[in-house]
Amino acid sequence: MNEIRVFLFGPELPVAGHPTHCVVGHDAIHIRSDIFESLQPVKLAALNADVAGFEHDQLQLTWRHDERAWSLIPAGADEQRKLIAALPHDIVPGMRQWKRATQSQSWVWKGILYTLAFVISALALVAWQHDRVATWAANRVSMETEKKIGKSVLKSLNPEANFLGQGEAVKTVQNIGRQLTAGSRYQYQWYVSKDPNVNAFAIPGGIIVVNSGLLKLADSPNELAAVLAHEVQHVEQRHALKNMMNSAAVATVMLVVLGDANAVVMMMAHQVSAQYFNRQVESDADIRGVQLLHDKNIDAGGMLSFFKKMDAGLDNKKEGAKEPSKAEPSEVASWFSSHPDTLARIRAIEEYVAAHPCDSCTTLTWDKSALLAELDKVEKK
Amino acid sequence: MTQFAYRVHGNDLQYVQFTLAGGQEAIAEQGAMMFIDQHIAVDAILGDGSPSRFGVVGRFINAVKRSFTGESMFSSLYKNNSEFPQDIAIAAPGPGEIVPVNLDEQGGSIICQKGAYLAGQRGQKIQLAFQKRLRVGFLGGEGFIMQKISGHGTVFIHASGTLKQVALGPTDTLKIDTGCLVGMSSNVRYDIKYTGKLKTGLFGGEGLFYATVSGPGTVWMQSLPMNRLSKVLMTAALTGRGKGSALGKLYLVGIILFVVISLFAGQQ
Repeated sequence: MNEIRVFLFGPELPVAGHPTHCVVGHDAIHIRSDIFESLQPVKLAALNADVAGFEHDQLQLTWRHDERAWSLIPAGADEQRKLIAALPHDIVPGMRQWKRATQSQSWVWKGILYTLAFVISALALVAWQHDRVATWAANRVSMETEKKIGKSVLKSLNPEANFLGQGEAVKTVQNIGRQLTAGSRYQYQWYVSKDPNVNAFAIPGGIIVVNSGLLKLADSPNELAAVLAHEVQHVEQRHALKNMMNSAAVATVMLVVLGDANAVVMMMAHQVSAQYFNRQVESDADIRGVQLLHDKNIDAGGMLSFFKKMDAGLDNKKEGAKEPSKAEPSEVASWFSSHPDTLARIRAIEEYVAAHPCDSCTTLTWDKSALLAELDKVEKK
Repeated sequence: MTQFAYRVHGNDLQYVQFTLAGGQEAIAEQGAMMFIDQHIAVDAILGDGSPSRFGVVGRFINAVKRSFTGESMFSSLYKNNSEFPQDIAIAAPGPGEIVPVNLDEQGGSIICQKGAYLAGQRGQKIQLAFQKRLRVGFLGGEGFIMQKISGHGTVFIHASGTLKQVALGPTDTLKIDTGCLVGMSSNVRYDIKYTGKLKTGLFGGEGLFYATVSGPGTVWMQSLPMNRLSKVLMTAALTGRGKGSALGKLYLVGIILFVVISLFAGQQ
């Protein structure tokens, strides 16, 4: 016979229970005690299993005797296991419910643990593959939405006052641009801005703006084509949308980590992430720009020569050169300030061009004098 | 282990005075000491002073865990260095009652609300008891973390309000307002129960759930939980401050009117 140590609870017994032993028989439970002779034996069917203890993991068997409640609780986890093994579960009422109640607790915690592990690993995966995720999310945005964003951005730039509507400059940009974007899913709009700063930028939805300062600095149509190819790739690869997704993700993480969205911290985090993201995006646009030029049989040497010119302009600015170079240093700065790590980019482009020579590529032609004349006229106004 | 001879003094703002025999030691919450006799030495110990399998690091971790239960990381050890009995008095940190609990009578351990421990014999352990039932942790009024006091001898626990001790027999169940539970012996099952009626839940002022405690074992309840007391005091403090006379307000309005009118007068 298997003796199980239990605590007996009942009327006139100590509140912490009376330590004793019990034996589970065929259809009854025998409590080994001299003073409780009258209790003996307790029928299994008369018992009721109940959850007890702070942890809700103890088994309590209760029964009534002489109109009063009695119960026993095994002394410790090992004794409880022995008692559960000895009890026929079908006969003791409440035993199944007890098992379910105690098991559900471990299921809940396991569920929480697994969910947490899943969420954390999913987040880690997203953080690790954030570039792919951002691309995927950016590609889910519909063309209409993108166009709408582009339109509103364009509106804020006040195109009527700041942009050239027609003329030689616009025609030149359009001609080269159309060559580059033939067969694209975007309908491109080309603008020339009356701005002496050397800069060009792309707005989501296929709007590309070239500053007049950049047109003046470009020595050949191939250089202009290179800049346009770079900007076209920003549009094609949806870099602006990717950047938005990236910022949204950073904002979300910051919100979760910091709880309260402190504006300054958010701005700083955004700056850092945007800076890092920009580098990736710019070099991506460079290489893809070269690919695009090659696809359209345009010599990509323009990109290198233009970049080198810009880099020289930047150096002049740093050293405070007395001899003014062709472009004013302050005007050169703006395109490159948003395009960091110039030398590394030039090297990457050189490597790519060396690895992918394009024999059939040609150089473009333009009427530079007409272009300059028109730009001078515009700037004098 | 010899028991303390103790006496609780006061009604609502209590202190407990007990006598240490020669060489006997007691532990109390940091900063709870009111007075001690001449030959009692005070020492600060990490956690509850009990040793750990993992040495100093283990003791430190235990102390950190203990600090989550509303106690400080260090506690004060009082030792009677003389051969004569010496007295020590420990004061309650706030209004309420000090209740002595004999752990041996309660089966060796009790589970209390956060910060209930006040003082006790050396060798008693104050550990973190984590509520594994989500519903009880969220809605039971005591949170997920409680305090498990185990060992031998007498321990003094403290809670605000008047404390009530109830011995529950097997299958006895008591419904308690959530937050009024102070402690229970380890066999007691602590759960929550829906009030059963939406009307009672919304307008009865007791919330949607009761806490339930089921025997066998002992439970301690408090008449006025700290958060309720602080709410009453806070409301009184705020409304009391705004008790200005109507004439004073009129005077202030007059000043504002004067300033505004003088602004317009300057324009012309």
